[in-house]
Amino acid sequence: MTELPKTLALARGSETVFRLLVDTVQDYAIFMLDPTGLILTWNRGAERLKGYTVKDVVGSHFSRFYTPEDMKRGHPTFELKQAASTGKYEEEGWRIRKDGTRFWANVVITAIRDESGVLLGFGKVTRDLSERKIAEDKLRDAYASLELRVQERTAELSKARDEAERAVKMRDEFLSIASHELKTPLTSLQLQTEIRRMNLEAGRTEAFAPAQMAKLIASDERQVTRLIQLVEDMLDVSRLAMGKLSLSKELFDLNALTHEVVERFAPQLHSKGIHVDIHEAPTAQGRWDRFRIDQVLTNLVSNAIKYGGEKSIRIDLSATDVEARVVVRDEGIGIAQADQARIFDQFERTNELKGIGGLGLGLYIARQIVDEHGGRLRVESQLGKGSSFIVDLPKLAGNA
Amino acid sequence: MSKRILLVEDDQDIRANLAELLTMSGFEVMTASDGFHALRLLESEVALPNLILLDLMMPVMDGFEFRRRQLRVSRLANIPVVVMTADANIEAKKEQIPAQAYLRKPVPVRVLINTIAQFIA
Repeated sequence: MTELPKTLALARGSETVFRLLVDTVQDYAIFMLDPTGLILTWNRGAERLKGYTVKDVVGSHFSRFYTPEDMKRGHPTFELKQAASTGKYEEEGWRIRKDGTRFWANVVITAIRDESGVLLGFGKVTRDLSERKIAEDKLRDAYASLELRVQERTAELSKARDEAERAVKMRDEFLSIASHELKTPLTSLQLQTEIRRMNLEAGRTEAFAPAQMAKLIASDERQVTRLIQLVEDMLDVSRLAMGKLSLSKELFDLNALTHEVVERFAPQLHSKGIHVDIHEAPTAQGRWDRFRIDQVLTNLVSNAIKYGGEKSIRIDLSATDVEARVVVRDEGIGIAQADQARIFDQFERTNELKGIGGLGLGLYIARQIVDEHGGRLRVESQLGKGSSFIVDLPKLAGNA
Repeated sequence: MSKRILLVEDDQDIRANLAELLTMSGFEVMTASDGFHALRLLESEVALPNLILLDLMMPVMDGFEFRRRQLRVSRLANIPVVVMTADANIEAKKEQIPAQAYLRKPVPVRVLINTIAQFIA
């Protein structure tokens, strides 16, 4: 019987030790609740974590540590019910300190019962996981942003690859077309040379009669003109690519230049039976680069002849105080809406033109020239209903 | 009887010059300015050509499409075809168009005549 008091004393002693132990724990809030959730004890860790002193909280309801959202959904009561029915409830969630700041807590609530099973209250241990939570969130954010960067980079690379592939395809197509365009007049010249050699070797002098020669010379001239034009176009494109298109402006009249350009096409117009109607402006004087504007008009008239379906062509000139306008209108195949922006790009031709001669540089060069003058070159067209190419040139273009 | 050649070529000058050269070399020459007109000519012609000299890049119907359609008509399928093109990439396009021979423009006349002689029946 002497053993019992001794054990009791020890137990009492250990209870004191235990109390001291709990009380001095700094990193955990450890406190007791009565069965309804009123706070019974408060350790130093609780004070440090939550900012409340013993006086502040003992006797008050533990729900004060919860966020308004959690209060609203009755979460504190739910936690106690869970702990009471299963013996223990654990979760991580936001809690609120005395100063109103939030921290991310790990909470363990343990139901405490006497030997007969009557609920005496709850033991509650809370740990501040804010730092871990912040680190985790940062890691997750970093991972997400990394993922996003990888996705963006992948998209950029795939776009760059598509563009590179398109450029290679365009280059190959250009080589095919350039080769075709350059070799066609060369082939003609080469065949003519062979024919003349064969005729000469066979002593067929009738093949060299003046009438025959005139025809041959005309044909040779056609091929040479084509070759020169092609080489000029290619040179212009490389000049434009290097930004070396310089303008030398002079005062001249667009009415006169338009007549001059159309006059140059007279043989072609005559043989195809195409009529060109020029409607002059009362005056269309301005300072522009005569040679370059000639090139633009030549290109537009040549296109109108090539794609105009051998119908008549109309050229309207007009001018205001500040601007002159030339509209070249054909009644030919027209240009689909989808193609209208593309035709001003390098080496671009509409689908309808596959197989018709041309490098696809003319309109590109023309637009660059008009841009360089501070003007605008655009198209209005409908498939099958002809096209109008509209050139607007400011009269005092740069005044250079 | 002289051998007949169908020349399919869109460039008017080349067509005229080649026709003249082939005639001078002893061939009988028929001409068409594109694949479509060539097919129409072949359909109406009783005496088929012994060989077709075919350009590739042509408006209306190009050489590729002409060859596909020619091969589908049994009466025409066996006529040998010599492709003659100014395209620098012909090597890459060979598999798109089966033919007896491929010549690159400009082609020396001697080479052209020798090639034709090789495949003409």
